[in-house]
Amino acid sequence: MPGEGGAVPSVSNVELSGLPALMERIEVESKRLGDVVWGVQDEVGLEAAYEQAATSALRAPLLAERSVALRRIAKRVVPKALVPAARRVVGAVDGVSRRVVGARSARPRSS
Amino acid sequence: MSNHTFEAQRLLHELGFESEIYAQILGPGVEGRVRPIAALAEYASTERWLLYQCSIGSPVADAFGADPGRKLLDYHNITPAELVERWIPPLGDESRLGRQQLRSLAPLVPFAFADSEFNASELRDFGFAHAEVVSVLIESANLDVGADPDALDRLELAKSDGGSDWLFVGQVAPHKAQHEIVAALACYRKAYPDRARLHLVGRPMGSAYLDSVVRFAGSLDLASAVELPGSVPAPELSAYYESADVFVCLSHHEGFCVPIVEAMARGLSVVAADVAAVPGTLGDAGVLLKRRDPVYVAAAIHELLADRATRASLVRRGLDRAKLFSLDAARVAFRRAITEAVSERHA
Repeated sequence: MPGEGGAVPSVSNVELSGLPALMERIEVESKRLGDVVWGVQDEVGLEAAYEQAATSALRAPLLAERSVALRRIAKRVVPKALVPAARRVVGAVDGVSRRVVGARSARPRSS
Repeated sequence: MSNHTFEAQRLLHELGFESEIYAQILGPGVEGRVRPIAALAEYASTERWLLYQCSIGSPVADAFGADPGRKLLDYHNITPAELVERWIPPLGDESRLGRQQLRSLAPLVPFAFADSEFNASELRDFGFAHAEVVSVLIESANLDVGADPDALDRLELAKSDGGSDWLFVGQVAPHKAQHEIVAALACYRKAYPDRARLHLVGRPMGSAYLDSVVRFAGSLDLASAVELPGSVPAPELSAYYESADVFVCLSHHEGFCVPIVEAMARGLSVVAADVAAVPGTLGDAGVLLKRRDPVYVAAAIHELLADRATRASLVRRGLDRAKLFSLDAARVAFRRAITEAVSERHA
């Protein structure tokens, strides 16, 4: 039952002696992991990987929105008769740009 | 509209009050149970009591403030803008608005409730004269319902390959920091032979953060080890709790954290970052992390899973502690708080 004023006590009546020792072992083990398993480079790599994932995830809806907006504008300014030809041109430009981007990303990077 | 609100209304009816619920947005399934906020003024009276449930900036706060009725407030916390605005900028604006609104409502509300001491303390900082802790009216179905056998079979089958199952339940949102649990999993799997799996159950708050967590897990070769099933029905949620080995919470902000109570009530050991309302909810029934870096979290989970005796003691404490937050206990506290609030002393 909550105590006076509805507040809940933070300490249990159930006996527990192992927790302080557990917390000490966690300190020791985390130091060991930091020394031999998980170094600064791992940490930096993890942060970079997350930042890249976050940036891509935030950019994706913006790109989708921009694409929808461009399509809307194109619908207004391109005469109906020219739509198939315009699509072919856009497809060709898209294909070339994809190949260029693909070639760039496949290039080895100096470290 | 939360179950807490409907349960509060039920208790008000039991206490002999007439009660209507008003809301800005009427979601599906509440037809006939909730009225639009625009209708609030229809029955304006200085004799009427209004109880405003606040968790974000909203035009409801303005209608509440302008109404001549006597006022109570039930605060479920507003996530700080800086934790969400990168992902959903309008939510950051709503958060700031909510905190401004609370400051301006403080002198109008003689009696306020909060579901944790952390939230009550925020209310006092906003200038509320009387802020009392009244536990959230947790949906009992989530605690009592049996596990879906198919879901349990699926989860148990995955265990046959070995490895522990980590669970977090909560909205997939930047302030819940699911990506930090993924980072800890990456460290854990590098450090130990245990091919641990992570289940992040909860509906996403927008698509961008969810997308980032999925991409992040993929970039760490953890796509098959990290599951994001979204929001699941109660029996499936029970299966997740039942099959998990540890509940891991690395949230940067929690106003209460109902899933910690659910985990404790189901006998699941809890490892959680020591932030906001989490220590008040978990008490000494789990491992409170003073640091949140992947190495420390991985070490904490490894040591807890290896120490069966301490783990069993913590589980017993958790079962005991969960009872403090039971629906029955919260009902008693809510009835008492309402009775006191509407007494002459505060009227």
